[in-house]
Amino acid sequence: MLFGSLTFLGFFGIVAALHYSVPARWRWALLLIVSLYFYSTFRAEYVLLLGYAAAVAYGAGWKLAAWRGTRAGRVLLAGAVVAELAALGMFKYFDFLAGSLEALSRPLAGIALPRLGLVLPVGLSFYTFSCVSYLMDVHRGRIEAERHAGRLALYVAFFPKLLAGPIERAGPFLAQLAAPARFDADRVAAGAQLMLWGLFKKVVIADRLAAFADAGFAAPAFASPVTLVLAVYCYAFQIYCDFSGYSDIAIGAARVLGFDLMENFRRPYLARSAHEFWSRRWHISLMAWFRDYLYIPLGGSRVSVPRHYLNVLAVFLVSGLWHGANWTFVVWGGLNGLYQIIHAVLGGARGRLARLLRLPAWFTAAASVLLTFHLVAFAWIFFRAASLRDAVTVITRIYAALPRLGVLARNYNWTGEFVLAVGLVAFLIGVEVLDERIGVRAFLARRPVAVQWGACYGLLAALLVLGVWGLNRFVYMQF
Amino acid sequence: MHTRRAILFVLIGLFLYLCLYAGSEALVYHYAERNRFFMIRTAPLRQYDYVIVGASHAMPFDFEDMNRRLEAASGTHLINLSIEGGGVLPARLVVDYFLAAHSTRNVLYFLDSFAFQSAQWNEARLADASVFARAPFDPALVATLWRYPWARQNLPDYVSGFSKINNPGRFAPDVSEAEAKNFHTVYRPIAYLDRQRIQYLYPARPDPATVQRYRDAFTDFARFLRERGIRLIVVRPPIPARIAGLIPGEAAWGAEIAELARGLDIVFRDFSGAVAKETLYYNSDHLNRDGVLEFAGAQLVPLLVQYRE
Repeated sequence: MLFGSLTFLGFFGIVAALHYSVPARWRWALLLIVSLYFYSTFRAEYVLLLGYAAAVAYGAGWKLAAWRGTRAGRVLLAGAVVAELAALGMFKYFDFLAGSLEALSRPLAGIALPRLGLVLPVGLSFYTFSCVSYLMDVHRGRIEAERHAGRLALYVAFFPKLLAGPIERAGPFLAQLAAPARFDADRVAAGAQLMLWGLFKKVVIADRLAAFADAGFAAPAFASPVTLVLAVYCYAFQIYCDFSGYSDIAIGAARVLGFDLMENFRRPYLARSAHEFWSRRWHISLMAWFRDYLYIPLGGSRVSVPRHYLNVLAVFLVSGLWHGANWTFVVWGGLNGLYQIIHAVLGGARGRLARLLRLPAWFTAAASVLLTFHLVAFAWIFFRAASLRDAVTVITRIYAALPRLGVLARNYNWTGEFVLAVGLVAFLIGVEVLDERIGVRAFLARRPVAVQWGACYGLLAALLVLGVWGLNRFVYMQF
Repeated sequence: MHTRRAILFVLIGLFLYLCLYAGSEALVYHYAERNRFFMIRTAPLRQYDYVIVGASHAMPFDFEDMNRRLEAASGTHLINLSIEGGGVLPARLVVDYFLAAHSTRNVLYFLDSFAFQSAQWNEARLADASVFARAPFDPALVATLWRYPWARQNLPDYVSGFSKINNPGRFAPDVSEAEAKNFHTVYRPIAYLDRQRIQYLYPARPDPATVQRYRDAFTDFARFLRERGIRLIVVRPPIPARIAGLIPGEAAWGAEIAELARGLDIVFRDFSGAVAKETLYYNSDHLNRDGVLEFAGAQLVPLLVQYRE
């Protein structure tokens, strides 16, 4: 049951109605049951894995609170984190490591390692990280261990965030569970509007762009250079609309149910540097997780400059590997880490250059946004390609065709569907710019009710008329 | 206050939805053309001599002006309700719907062996919402869909008009790609494409239970027509010998269907070898315009004339 399906919308409507019908003190039980049911619709056995992750967090959490600051506590933390990550390692990385070790040993004697051939359970990477963050926070004394097993299980399994985040921290979530929110019509309406916007991004834009991205990346050696260029640009917007659309639906659904989840995207393609893109705008909950539980423990920036750069690179390489057990993700992570280091090395040089050339502020801002977007889009090639060879093929074929790209584009078979896709992306950018400047909600709040309702009806009509409802998959669910 | 606003919001939304629905319905009436449900809905109310059913092998007899030519040559009233990939169950459904408001003397069934071998051409087609996406709203079709368990799951989609509103090809005529692009072309045999075509039509080795299920469905269809005084005429469509040779068990199936037809006292004609020239096909197994004209002149029109009354 995916967020983009009508089945989910029906399920969610029933859950929301039931949620506000049962007494507040039992809502956690209702939400836990429906969350487990929701997860079981993918594969019933997965619920056991979810239960394992929650049980480890619950059991270890108690003792971690008692042994806080002791050597035993540190040992227990390490053991519990390993126990949490073991499932992830087995399902996600075992075959990848076995394959990589075999490849490495080939020039020498060559070894044959067994494969598990397991299918990665949906959402495993996300709820494992939630459990690890809970354990770390309890160990550090940021939060108390949760005594109520059901509430902790709900923190792990809460269905709006279960499949692909946001990777919510336990503290704020458990506090909301302890004091259930009353029904608030404005809040429900705001949540529903966010869900609507997320669905629009996912079903109308992302799934429409998917066809153009797939056309290039399916067989890059046989695609025309123009198809490849379109695939790269379309994928950049597809993955954004897909993942941020998912996050909006998740955050909106949680808001309807009376919960606030953390923001996951903040208009990332308006970032003026790769550093800003990753630190403040893209997949915020994951990058905050890496910052708090990997980057800072490694020493963060309070170490020597080379060690700082190494820390940054390590975080991005691990982030790449978190996304998938494939060298394409490692290269993608490394490339983004490199962007961060270059940004740090250049420091204020960019500003000085702009002042020296007396470039107007709007020009440097626009150029920075464009440059950042293209750097990120370039890295996405590795993220999307099926193999490193495919990624290199895409890059070399586009590069080789650059001088004649204009001629090729003039003779390209442009379809009405593509024009529609471009129009939708332009609309999205317009909305994001407006949101960046004054906030879309604030903008609409100042308009008459007819305009506010008109915006909702417009999105609903677009979903009905332009929605691509058949695809029904989310890019980030595979991680 | 909030409740009243919410009710008003929903009511306005419903009104706008109805407007979208009406607009989509109007587009169906403008562009549906060859959609079989549209054809039934808009067919003149008169006695038909023949309803033609079957899968894609029967469709070329309705391409361009072919149906009109057949009517003129045979002096009959024909309506072609063949559906791409339609096996026995889809054929039964369209005839059932047709008979809700119309009548016919004969049903001419272009029967392919694949129709008996896979749920893909039967239950799966009935469950496919796209088959009904351009069907105009008609209470008779609602009742028909309700009678077919596999088609029943499309009722919410059909009644709400969701697929109709969401149809990306809403401004394009509902004419098959074969009619629009290939009907005048001549196929140059490519062994790989032929094998691919056979794999597509016969995706799995049929198990006897599946074949028996569709034999029973066919027998039931024959009885259904007989009870209404309608003659069922079964023909095997023309197919190049080279392709027939690639289909597993095709010769044996021909004998089986002839036997079945005899048992049910159905008129049966085996035209599978009637058009041997490969230049009369637009792809591995579909007649092109010249092929249809030649086959019609030599075989089909005499058959239509013979059973006209």
